[in-house]
Order: sequence, then C-alpha cells, then structure tokens
Amino acid sequence: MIDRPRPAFAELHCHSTFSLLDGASDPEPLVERALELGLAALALTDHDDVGGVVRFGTAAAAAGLPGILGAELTVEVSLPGKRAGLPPRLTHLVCLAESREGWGNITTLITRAREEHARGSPRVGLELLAAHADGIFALSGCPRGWVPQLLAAGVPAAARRAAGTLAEIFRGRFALECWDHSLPEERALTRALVPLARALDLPWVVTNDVHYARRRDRAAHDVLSALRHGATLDEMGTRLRPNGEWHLKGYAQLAERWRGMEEGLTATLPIAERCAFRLAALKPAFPLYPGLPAGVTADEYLATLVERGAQERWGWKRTARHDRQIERELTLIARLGLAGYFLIVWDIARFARREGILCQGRGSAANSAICYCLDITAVDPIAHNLLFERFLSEERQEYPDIDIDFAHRERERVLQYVYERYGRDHAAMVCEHITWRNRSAIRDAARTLGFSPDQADALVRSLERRDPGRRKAPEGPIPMAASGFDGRDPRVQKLAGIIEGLRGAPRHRGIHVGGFVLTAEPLHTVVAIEPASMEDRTVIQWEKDDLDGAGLIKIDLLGLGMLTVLQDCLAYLRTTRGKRIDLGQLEQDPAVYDDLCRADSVGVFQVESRAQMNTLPRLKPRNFYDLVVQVSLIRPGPIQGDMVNPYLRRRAGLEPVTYLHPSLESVLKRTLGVPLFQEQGMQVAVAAARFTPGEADTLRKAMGYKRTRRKMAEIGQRMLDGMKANGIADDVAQRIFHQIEGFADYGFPESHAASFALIVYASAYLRHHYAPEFLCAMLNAQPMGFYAPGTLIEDARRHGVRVAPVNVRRSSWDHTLEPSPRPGAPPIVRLGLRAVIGLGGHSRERIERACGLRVPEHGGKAPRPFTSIADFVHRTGLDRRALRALAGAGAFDVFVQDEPPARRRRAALWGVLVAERESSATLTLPLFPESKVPESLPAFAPVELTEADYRLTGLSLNGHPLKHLRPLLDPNGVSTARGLRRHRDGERVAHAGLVICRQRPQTAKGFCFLTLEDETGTVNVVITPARYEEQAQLISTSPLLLVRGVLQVAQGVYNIRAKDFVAMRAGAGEESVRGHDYR
Amino acid sequence: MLPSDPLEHWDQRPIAVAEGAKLRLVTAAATARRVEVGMTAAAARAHCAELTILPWDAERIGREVARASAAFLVASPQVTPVRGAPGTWWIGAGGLHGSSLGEGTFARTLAELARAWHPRARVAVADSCVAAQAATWSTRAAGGTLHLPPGGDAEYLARVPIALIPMDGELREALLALGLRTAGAFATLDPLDVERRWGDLGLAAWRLARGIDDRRAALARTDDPRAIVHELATSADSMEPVLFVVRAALDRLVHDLTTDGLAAAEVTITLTLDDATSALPHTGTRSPTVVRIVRPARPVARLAPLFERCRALLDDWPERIHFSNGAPVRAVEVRISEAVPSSAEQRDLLATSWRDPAAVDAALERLRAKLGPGSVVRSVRRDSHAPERAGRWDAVERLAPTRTASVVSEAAEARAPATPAAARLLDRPEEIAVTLDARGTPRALAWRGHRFPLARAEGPERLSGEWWHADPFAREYWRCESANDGRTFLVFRSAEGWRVQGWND
Repeated sequence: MIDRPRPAFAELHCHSTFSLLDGASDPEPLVERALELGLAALALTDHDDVGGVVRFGTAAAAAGLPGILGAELTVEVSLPGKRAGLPPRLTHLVCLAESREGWGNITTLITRAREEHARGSPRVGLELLAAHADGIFALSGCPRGWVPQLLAAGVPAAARRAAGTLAEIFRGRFALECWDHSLPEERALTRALVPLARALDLPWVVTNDVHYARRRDRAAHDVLSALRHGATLDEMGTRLRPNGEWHLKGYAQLAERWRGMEEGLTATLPIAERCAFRLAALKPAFPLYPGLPAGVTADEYLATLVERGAQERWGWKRTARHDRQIERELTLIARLGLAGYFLIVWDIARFARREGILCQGRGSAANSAICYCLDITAVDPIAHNLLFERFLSEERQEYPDIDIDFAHRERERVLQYVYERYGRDHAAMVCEHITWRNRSAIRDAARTLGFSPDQADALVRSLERRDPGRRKAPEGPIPMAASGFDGRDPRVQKLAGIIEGLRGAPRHRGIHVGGFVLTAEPLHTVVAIEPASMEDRTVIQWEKDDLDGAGLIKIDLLGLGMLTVLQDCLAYLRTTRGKRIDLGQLEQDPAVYDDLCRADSVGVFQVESRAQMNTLPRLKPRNFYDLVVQVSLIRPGPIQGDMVNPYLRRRAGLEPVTYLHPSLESVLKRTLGVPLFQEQGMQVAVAAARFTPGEADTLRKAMGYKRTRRKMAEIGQRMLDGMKANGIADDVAQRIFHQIEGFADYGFPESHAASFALIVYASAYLRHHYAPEFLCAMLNAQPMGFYAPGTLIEDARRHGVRVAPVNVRRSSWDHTLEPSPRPGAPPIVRLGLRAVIGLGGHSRERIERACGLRVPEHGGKAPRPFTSIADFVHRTGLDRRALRALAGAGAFDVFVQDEPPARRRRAALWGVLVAERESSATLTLPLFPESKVPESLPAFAPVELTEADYRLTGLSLNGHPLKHLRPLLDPNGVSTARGLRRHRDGERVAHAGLVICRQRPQTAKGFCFLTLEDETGTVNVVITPARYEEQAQLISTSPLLLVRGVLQVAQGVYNIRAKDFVAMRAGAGEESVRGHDYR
Repeated sequence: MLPSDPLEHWDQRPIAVAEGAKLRLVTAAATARRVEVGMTAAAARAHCAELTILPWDAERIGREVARASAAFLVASPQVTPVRGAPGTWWIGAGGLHGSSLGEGTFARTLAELARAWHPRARVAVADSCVAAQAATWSTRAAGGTLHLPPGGDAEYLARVPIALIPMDGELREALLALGLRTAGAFATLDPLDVERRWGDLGLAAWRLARGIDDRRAALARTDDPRAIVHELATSADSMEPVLFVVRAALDRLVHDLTTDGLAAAEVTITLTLDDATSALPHTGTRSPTVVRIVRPARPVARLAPLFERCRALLDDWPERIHFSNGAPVRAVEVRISEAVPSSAEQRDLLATSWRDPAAVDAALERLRAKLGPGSVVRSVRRDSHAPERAGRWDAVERLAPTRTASVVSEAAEARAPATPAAARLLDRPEEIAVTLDARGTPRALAWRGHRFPLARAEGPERLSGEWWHADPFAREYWRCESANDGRTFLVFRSAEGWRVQGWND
C-alpha cells in the first residue's frame, strides 16, 4: 500500500471534453489523474454544460475521490459609465454545487442561458444569476472572468466593484481565483487579484483552469481549438494557447510556483468540503399520471386497466397462470413505485391508437404480461413462456426500459403530445453525444493539418476498405502510403496521432433516436435542458447511459419505417380494393411461408438482408415461431457464439439434438439445444448455476456492457462456481459459460424477436397478396430498409407488378396507385415526382400550388392538370435545374407524343429550353408558337435512356443496365442470376451484375459478401479474405462487376465463391446506383 | 526557379505556383505525384514532400508573358497573350498563305520559339482563333504543329467535340443533354431556335461553332502606327499593370515619333473594362471603356515626361474607374492622338531630366543589383508565439505602397503588452552560459566573451508549440536586465541549453 501524503489541494476548475471543442480529456482520465496526483477533490466545471457530470460523478465515486459538480457559466455584464451603450461584456464564472438546491440552480441557469439566447452563445445576466445563487459556491473564473478582465483592462476600481457585486450575490460563497501557466500576463493579474481579495476580505484560491489531464494531451487540445475556430493549425497562430501547462497538477508542482503563497492552495480545501452535493442525492421523481381518477391511487388504477386488458386479451382462455403472472408483476411494480410510469406509457400508446398511428412495443417490455394487457406490446409473454425478469427485477436496481415503435412519419405528433401532456418543464428528449468516429476523426484531423477533403476521403476509403464498418480504432497503423500520403512529410507523421486523439471524444450534441425523460419536479432543476436543432424539441444534456446514474427513467418513442409502410399499405387497400385488414388477425398462409423459404423476401421487414436471405432457405420457416428464430439467428451474438450452423444442421436433421448438461434441456429444448435468445442465457444461469433471475440479468448486462467488464469477471466466476456446486464438470461448465458469453448482449431477447416477427409476417403477407400496394407504400416510406427503390421496383416487376413512369399530368408528388385498364387486374404503381433526384420540398410546393392542390379556394375541386410544357413551366415557375431534370427523366414525354419514344426526352428538353427562357422574361404567353423539333436532335440509344433514368431517378423502367451488356456477356458464357439455377454445385461459373450490397461484417473473419443484381434477379458472392485483400480497391469501388468462381449450392442457397473480378462499364448509369455499402 | 540539371526541364520537376493559400499552377511532374491545381500547400506536400512551392507573382508572370510576346514578334507583328490563360497567345498569320514563307513554316517557327519555354509547345494555324485553339488539341499527333487549309475551319470544327468551343458552361451542358456532341451538330441548328433558347450568348457560340470568330491578335496594329492596344493577360484591378503597359507603349510610340521627327501633343488612353463576358466570344455588345486625354504643356518627344503625365493621371483614376461599374481593366489602348513636328529643343539630348519618382525604384533596383536579390526588405508582423516567427522580412520589389500582410490575432494583440518582443532579434539564437540562484533564477549570463551580471530577471515564460512542424519549439524565456548597461536580454532555456535571442537597448 502506497503511503500517500495528506492531500493539501483540491482542483476546483477543470474542463472535460464536455466543454465541447475546448476540453481535451474525458471525465474518467481526469479522475484517474487526480487520484495519481493525490488531489483532495476535483471539480468538473465545463462551459455552460453538465453533460459529463454523470460519467465524472460515477468515476469519482468508484475511485473514492470527492467529485464536485459544477459548471463555468458565461455571465453577461453591462458596461458602466461612458461605455454603457457598448455591447455587454461576456465573462466567465465558476459555479460549484454545495447542495441539491445549488445543483438545481446551476442547471436552471444553464437551461435559461441556452433557451434564451442564440444557439452556441449561452449566457445569463446578473439578475438571473442573483435569483439562482443559493447553494452555489462561486469562483471569479479564468482570465475571462469579470474581475480579471477589468484588472487586465487597467480599471482596478471597476474590478473592485465587480468583485463586490459577486460577493454580494453569493453572500459568503465567493472566492477570487488565481492561476499561473508560466505566462507573465497571468502573473500580473495575480499580483492584482491577491491584494484585491485581501482588501475585500474574500478568500483567494489557486486553480489551474485545467483543460486536459496530462501534458501530452495538449496536442489534442490544440486540434480541438483549431476545429472550434474552423481554422488549420497553421492559421491558428496565437489563438492556440502558448504552452502546454493547462493540465492537472498536484500540490507539489503548484507549491513550487506559489512558494510563499501556499494559502491559495490550501484555501481550496474548505471550499471542496462545502461543495458536498453528489449525484446520489438527486433522486428525481417520475410524474403522476395526470388522468388519475379522484381518490384512486396509481397502483389501483393500473390494476383496473390491466384487469380490463386481460379480459380483452385472453377472455375465456385466461387461466390461473395468467392471474399469477399479473399479480406478480403488479406487486413488483407497486413495490418499486412504478405504476405511474406504466400508466404514462399506456397513455402514450393509447394516444397513438386514437390518432390512427400504428405502434407496437418491443424490446424486453414484451416480456411483461402487464404491457401486453395495456396494449403496449403485441406478444403474449405467457403463451411464449417469456422471462419477465429480463424486463424488470427487484435485484437489478434499474428502471425498466420500454421501447415503443411508431409509424415513423407520424412519430413527431406523438412526441409533441408528450410535451403538451406533461409540460415542457417536465419533459425533454435524451441527447446523444455525437463523437468522432473513424470517418469524422480522419476528416477533421486532416483538415486541421491543412490537407484537402479529397485526401481525407482517400484515407477514409482506404481505412474502410481494410476495416469496413469498424467503429473502434483499427488495428495497426493507418494506411497512409496506400492513400497516397508521403510519409516523409512531418504533418503526415502526426496525422495518425491526431486521429487517435479525436476518436471517441464528443463533438456535438444530437437528439437520441427516441428517448424521453419525464420528472415530477421541473426537469431543469435536475439537468440542464437546451433547445434541439429540430424545431419544438428540447434535449437534456445527458445521454441514455447517464440516466441510471442520475435516477431518471427513459421511455423510448421510436420511429419505424416498416410500420409506416404497413399503415400506408392498409390505407391503400381500403381505396384500391375496398379491403379492411386487421394485422392482428392475419391468417397463417402457407404461400407466404413458401416465399420466405425461397428467400423471396426483398422488402420484407428484417429478413431482406443478404445474410437473412442466405439463411431462409436453410431454416425453411413454416410457422410464426420459426420467424422468431429467424429474426434472432442472424445477430452478432449467435454468429459469434457459433450457434447458427449447429441450429440449422439440427433443424435439418443433419446432427442430433444434444445438451451440454441435462439441466439445460428444459431451457433449450425449443431451440434444439442451441441458446439463441438473451433470456435463454439467463435461464441457463438459473438452471445450471442456481442464479436467481435477477442475478442472471446482472450476468447478461455484465457480459455485454463495456463499462462493467470488471464485474463480468466477478459474476462469471460466480457462475462457474455455481455450476461446479451443481455437479457440472469444469470443462462442461467452461463450454456453457463460453456459449452464453458470446451472445449475452448481442442477441435479441426472445420477446423482442417475437415483436419483430409479427411485423415480418405482416410485411411478407402484404407483399405476397398485395404487391402493388406494398411496393407503393415502400417507395413512399423511403429512405428505409435495405434496398434502393430501383431494386425494390426490379423485384416487384419480376413479381408481375406494373410500374408506370413519372408523368407530370398523372404523377403526384408521392408514388400513387392507378386502376389497371384491364378489369380485375391489380392496380398500377405510378411513380411520383419525388422520384426525380434534385426536386425538393420547394419544387413540390410550387407544383402542388400550380395544380391547385395547395390553394384553399381550390379545396374540394379537382386538380387542374397541365396542358403543355409551356403551361407547366409558366404555372410552376420551377427553376431551370428542376425543369431539365423533369425533362431528362421523361416526365414531359406526355406532351411530345408525336415524337418517337426514344426522342421524346430530347424533344421535351427542346421545349423546356424555350419555355423557361420566355417564362423568365416574364411573358405571360409564349412569344412564338413552339417550332418543330430539329431533325438533328438524335434519339436516345436504349443504353442512354437507362443512363438518364438512373442518373435522374436512381431507377429505370427502360431496362436494367445489364440488359445492354447481355449481347457481350452471353457469348462469353456469363450467366444471368436466373441462369445460374441451371448450374450445379461446384461448377465454375461467371456472372455479372450491379453491386447493390457490399458487406464485410466483423463476425465474418475477413470474408466479404457482395450482392449482384441483373435483369433477372440477385446473386450473392462470397470473397475470401485473401482475394479481398488482393482486389479491395476494385471490389469496393466498381459499381458493376463480372465475377468468375465456383457455384455453391446448399439447401437451396446459391452463392458464388468468387476468384476473379473484372470491373465493367455499361455506360448505363451504373455509377448512379446507390448500394448498401459496408453498413 | 531554374532546374539544377540543365538537361532537366522545369516541367519535369515537382513545382507548383500558389496564389494565396491555393495552388494555381503545377508542373507535369507534380501532377504525376497527384498534386492538383486548387490544393493547399499542406495538402500538396502531403502527396509530394519535396514539392517546391513558389508564390504567384503576377508581375513576374506578366514580364515573362511580355518577353515571350516579344519573342513571337519575330514571327508576326500581331501577338496577343490570351487573357486569363498565361501560356497561350493569338498570333496573326495574315498574308502568309501562299507566300514563300508559308503557314506551315510559320507554325514550325513559332513552335521552335515556343519550345524555349516548353518542349511540348503546340501551334495551330487557322482562319479563326476558335479553330486554331481547337486544333492545338490535335497537334500532339502532328508533331506539335497543325495548320488548317484556308476556308477549312467550319469543316474542321464540324468534327470537334463541343467542349472545344468556348461557351457558357450551362449552354454546353444543355447542348450535350440534347445529344449535340460536336460543334457541327450545334452548327446545324436554326439560328432563330438558338436565339430563342440561349439569346446572344447562344448565337455567339453558334457562330464560333461555324468557325465565325472575330477575335484577332491585337498587340500591334499595322493600320494605325500611332496606337497600341494591349489586352492584359489577366484583368487588372489596380493601376500597376496598366502603368507597365502604358510605359512600354509610350516607349514604342515615342520611338516611332522621333523616327518620324514628330512630338506628341496629345495622348489618349482608353481602358477597356472587364464586364465578365470577355472570356466568351463577342456578343455584339461593346465592353465599357474609360477614355482620358493627356495634353502636355508643350509637344514632347521624350518618354519620361510623357509617362510622368500619364502616371499622374492614372494614379488619380483607380477609384473613379472602379466606381464607374466596379469592373477591372482588361485592355489598354495608348494612342498619340495628336502629333506635331518636334522642335529642336525636343531633340536636345542634354536637356535636364524631369523629376522622376520612379527613380526610387531604380535606386532600389541598383541596391538589389549590388547587394543581391532579397536585400531590400520590409517587416511584416505574423501571428506566432515564438518570437522569431512573430515577424518576417518580405522582399520589396517596388516602392509602391501595398497593404501590410498583418494576420495578427486578437489573442496576440491581447498578449502583446505583457510580452514585449525584443527590439533586436538575432538571426539565430546564440549559446550563452547562465548562472542561476538557488531558486533557478538567472543571476548572470556570459555571451560572446562578456559577462553580464543581472540586476533583474523576470520569468519564466513558457512558450511551446508548432508540434506539427518539423521544427517544434519548447522554451522557457527570461527577460534579464543587465546590471552593466541596463540592456534587457531575451534569453531562453530549451532542451539544447541556454540561448540569447535578442535584447532591448
């Protein structure tokens, strides 16, 4: 044990990376360094921000370091006397929380500072500060503090008055702050500050105005400063700090400088003791459900609603088992005081249903019978034997996490409902700190060093080719030379270090995908709130991982594109076929399962990806539970745990179903002895190691959560010990442990998979029976899903769906359905104007207004269709670029029907050119009649038509690009996707197609997978790591590839194991194809 | 900068010319190393560490263009550098067709002359500038020269890609979208259709596509020996290049006058302003011009006094020109609008010279000649914490006032009073020996054989930075007041030991 000297200094002024683009160290390294230096305490005082407080408080508490919570506020002070008319002076003030009240005042001040001023320039006035000064101990701040600024400006009398004002505001809780970073100007200030403090009988303290943990972090700080100023390091000059002294320092180091004035160091100790507020004292309360009937408690009301729901859900099928489960859940909820939480979630789901917004709970909430009875989730947890403890347990000391998906287009209405219903002072969304990842770190690092964006992009591409999709730092050096960087250049040598320094640091604050927090007390007294970039949204300064530490409960209100598709599709069906379909009552149709068994699943929720399509023909789903398994199988957990192939082989009867230990049979029987779901991992711990369900959930969390790795070692040992005590041999115990370790947090909970499986079946059903409506809804919900619209349309057309081109007389903005001219035939999908790339909201508004769709007086009247190109140009007033895009996409072809089809777009453009010129000359009518289209304008070649289609709409109804290469490919033995079905396993084949998907998942051990699309279908290509390394550039960048290799056919799955690659060019717009690359 | 190996052409070395922060010209060797026009210096060096980056020097480039123009005058009296494209000239070949010299010989002569600058210079001869320029793109296969037969422009152009016809980018894009990929295809359109769609600009381009181009070489006009018209290589937004041209033109005109025994009674200077359409073919509208007349008190046949009057006039012009329509100058015409027989006095070689402010420039030039290039400098403040990098000496080419390139930040201004720079900085800090007291404060220093006991030492001030450069710095500065003579030395300690960097007297 090291004998540490008694701490004699507390650092009261310290910035972390949450002083965005200023602080260069995360909270945890700051705590770690403070411990090494033997500091008595450390305060976190980020600029107008408390985003790092939970991480800091947690780390400090774990390390036994007193962690003082606070912030450095920007205070606006008016200039006195003659300068009264000048803009106010912005000053800094360090505020430390002495008590819960002080903390609430700090967060309130930050909230007001950010709400009442422009984004990026928060500030509070002295009056507001005075109104919220209780419980705060204040320091005069850095050299930008009010007092030091006045001293530096040579007005000591004004400085004295300012110090007096602050002392008055904080009434005995104010000290003057001095620093010395080995700069003469700071020494000059100190020479004035210390006498001033003595003259006013105020304490003075030394701080180091810390901006990074260690001296070596100075480079990162310089880079962040450059990014803040939007300049390169070369351009920064003296805007960079003059040296690297802004790091944490210990007493000994500071005492050297402050020799003879050590009282400034020791004076920090009583202040640190006063500032005793810690996060554990926060304890925010969840609000009461506002609709509670008089005289009824939340628990009673919840029980009533659950009882009503249980009647509706189960009716006569209800058994004692159902009652026991409900009773168990209600008892636990009452004990944890969570009834209000459930009522509020129920209220939100009820609102959505009332408004016709499709919604469904997912995640572990689907393990709860109460959520099922409240209509929050759609899966019966009792029928599926789902484990309630995965959702809620008394042992876990955590709040439940309920996620609800809403049709994504309508979600904003739900969010605004929550704001309105519970009040903006009590509700806000959770933030997400956007951190530097590979791509952004490389770009910004390169920019600060003065490199061009192109060079940065080259480096990004090079890195992604090597480590596609990696979010963590790649192993080994960054491939500078491969990206064309000259390693002899000193900046190039520094680049990798800067990239490394940026990775993981917060860059700016965004909105979490759907997390909402609600509190009974005003939320701004718990955490600072700020306006989000989206209108009408506010976010707290904490992200989801901070909530548990602060005692806040989150509700996830998420948007799901597929729910929008289903909602729209049902609406279309009511119009096109007069059908009303209840998704909860869909029949189990073998034809739908036949599609899935054939991997005919483009557009189907969750099972449309390359990996899922490869598994479907092997798993051959024939019922709903098979879909639950299918959804769960292709996840990092089961893949990493080597469970996919054993499961599929057992299912196909190719290997026997065995169990590592007889005690596991009851748990794993339904998944053929292979653990696939999170709950099974927990149940294995219960069955084999005698864990309680709560302990089992702790095990799950420890295994998957990076911040509790230390815990994992402890609980893992407990599990091994438990299995040993249960008579399981060591080697078997190790295998069991390894098996669940692999997927503990990277697999789905069974309940979640079951919720998703419902949507899988619904989407597959609608796609099978109502393909035009489903396609139309899919296209209108874009962007979403795995495939680009072009691929969705190609697939739909192969299934007999008729798709009509964009036509300014017929098309709306959205894609629509038109009755087929053939009686009884399904409707035709008419592409909407939104398909034309480059037309935005502005164009939409003009077009719809011109049609009369946006003018109130035209309400109820039929739209006025356009009569000619000139009429369209004149009425819409669209700009040249938009008009040319429409002409190029064939939208005006309807007006030049007397031309041959292949010349219509040129003729239309000819007309557009004259119309736009005469329209821009403010002529009300064309000056001359339109002249004949010159003979010299050539017709489009077929390949040109396809090219124009892809360039302007990203899809083509005039033929797939591969169609134009077929005369070249056929004689050379290159098979189509359909033609490959005539070949046998092991044959050498050649195939060419557009690369619509590139994947190199981390679970694939370096293998790369491509999906190639031609005019007959899609084919998957497997590339070994060695071949990929040889041809990475070509594989990653060529939009159209010819591959030669060996055909692999297994259980109906066709893959090409590629050996040779040739990049091809069709000149048919292939470079405009949007692929699903390395995502 | 000349290549060190006389056999190696400059284009074979990685060199770039930067204007401001961005590269404007790069050599073929630099291009091969992925250095591109538009890159920053740092970005370019990341691709090519040994890249030489020279500053864009419009004056020098103008001089070189003028030198090349003069060389081409050997072959033709009509030589015009193409504006905005240094390295391209229109050269008149009128009257050569059918002569014994012949256009082919003429082209080869020009190519030989041009090869003094670049080994792969290209020359094409045609009836029109547009055809000639288009034809230079085909000359690689023709040994660097190509001449089109008289009357053959339209036929030649009919096959060339539309990209080789000068026109507005949007027009070109529209033509390509219509499927018109050659000049010939464009030329077949009805001019009324062209005008309705693209107006005058379209018609002008259409005429070019048919080989109708009224642009001509224009430096010397044989039909008017008393006037010189010069199109500037790049539009000038100051009077400096205009004066350069006026001086050269006057020199030539005065020479002609004296040869003819005449003196100038009136000089007319016409500036053609750039209305942003000059890079395109003529549209039928005239560019705006500004005309000023100089009438000396008496007829003059000497350059200096005439130029002095013109300079006085032009120096007073810039604001008025700019305020007329805010456009820079793209061409200058200097005309002796009135000439009279010169008097005997005019021919007196012994007459006292006029006061000439340019004499200062000449004096500086002599200093440079005597002391070497870069010997005449002025100080420019820079933004850096390191004292030696907080300023620089910039070479003075002319005395003409220029704005000081001060990029000192607010932070520097804020720090400046607390850290006064030493008035006298050594070129390179020099090693010293320092005696310290028990607290590490300097008490005496020894430098160049002298010992300086210190009355006072203030510090330390730690300065470090520029860690991304090849030569980062990390120093601890002290300001040490000598007890001997009151001088304050600026000394520092770094990893290499103690150094003195400068002093205040």
